[in-house]
Amino acid sequence: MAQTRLIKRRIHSAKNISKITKAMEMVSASKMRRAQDQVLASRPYISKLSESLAGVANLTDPSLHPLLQPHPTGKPLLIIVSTDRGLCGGLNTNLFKLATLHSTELPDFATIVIGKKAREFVSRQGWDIVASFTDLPEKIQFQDIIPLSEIIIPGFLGDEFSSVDFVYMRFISTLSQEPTVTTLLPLQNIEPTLALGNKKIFTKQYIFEPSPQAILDSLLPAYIEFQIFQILLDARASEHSARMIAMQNASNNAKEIVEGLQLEYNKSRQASITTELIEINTANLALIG
Amino acid sequence: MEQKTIQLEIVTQEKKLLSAEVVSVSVTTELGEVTILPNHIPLFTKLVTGELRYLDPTKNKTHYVAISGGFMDVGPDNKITVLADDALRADDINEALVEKAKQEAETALKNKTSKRDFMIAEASLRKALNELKISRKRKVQKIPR
Repeated sequence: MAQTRLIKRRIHSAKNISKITKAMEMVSASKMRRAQDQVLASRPYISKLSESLAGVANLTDPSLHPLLQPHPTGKPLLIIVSTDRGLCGGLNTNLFKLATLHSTELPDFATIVIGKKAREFVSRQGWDIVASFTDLPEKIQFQDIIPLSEIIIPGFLGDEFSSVDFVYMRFISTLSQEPTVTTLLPLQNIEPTLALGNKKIFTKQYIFEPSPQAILDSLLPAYIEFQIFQILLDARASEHSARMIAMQNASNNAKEIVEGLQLEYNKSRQASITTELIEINTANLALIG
Repeated sequence: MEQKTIQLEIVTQEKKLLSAEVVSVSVTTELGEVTILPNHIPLFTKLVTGELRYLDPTKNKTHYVAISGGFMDVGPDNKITVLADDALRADDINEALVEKAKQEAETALKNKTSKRDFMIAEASLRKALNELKISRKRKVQKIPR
């Protein structure tokens, strides 16, 4: 009997856990949808922005702008975007593996951490932390990244950082996220789009007010800030989908365990009934005989 | 004769706000207010916090949009794209909310001493005032009609 009671208790706790994981799965699913929508909603802006930037850069000399130029002084800066909370499968582990790998290529570097998990990881590694951002709001808004860009951009211009790299989870689909390293500064990746944009859009005479240089000066930081914003949104979408999948697996596992335990419980219950029947029958036979 | 129109598009960081066929667009740029009419020469300019007006030819009605900084790209083929840091249609402005934001910004201006906080508070105050102004302007306009 003691055996069956024990099994029953285990079934009960497995069922309880599966209820929790099921609920977390559903919460993550809705948060993920919202995060994905946010990424999609900001697409038109970024495409227009890079289009405009391409045009302006064509008419000024973009290589003269300090944000576009590599400079060797200062430390490389590594920004690690992780989650604040756990229970999201191998997301952070994979992320930190890539960060470690990437850090071996950098001689002496500084880091900015986003998310509690990254902070724990980086302090465990003993890396130099310039700033740490944790507990960003659930719905990231553009103004939330301004403190971050205010460290990065002046730091880069002031020769404090020689380059700025982001390590984050790129959102590919609900089922897959990829740890990715992107170089934010010096800006390079706009060059290919620049070449494409040039001929098509900006063939005619354009007027720039106040001046092309002034426009470029204000467009570039806006572009960089928006890139940061997009990276954070991407990381957020990855976090929620990873958590959703992790919780889905946990719920499935719990269900399997409950099934196994139920079978065992039924077996032991049947065994005790059989034993009882044998006992009764034996006693009965003894009385008659 | 068919009236010439401009394709106006306003996109913000969070969404595509509107897309419309208009006959004129007025915006506040860094150098002052400009009005764009059809067949304008290509122009790229920086916008400051202010209002954007456009004339809708179908109803012959002027619409107001509150813009909080950004860029305007007047393309060669009568296409205007406004990249706004934040934009709100006059009809969408919630005065109570804006009033609250204004008060918060005002108290922040009094309390915060660091230059950065001061600048942020000042910018949000300017934004709130702008939105209030535009929202009220629209109401005044409605009365004579």
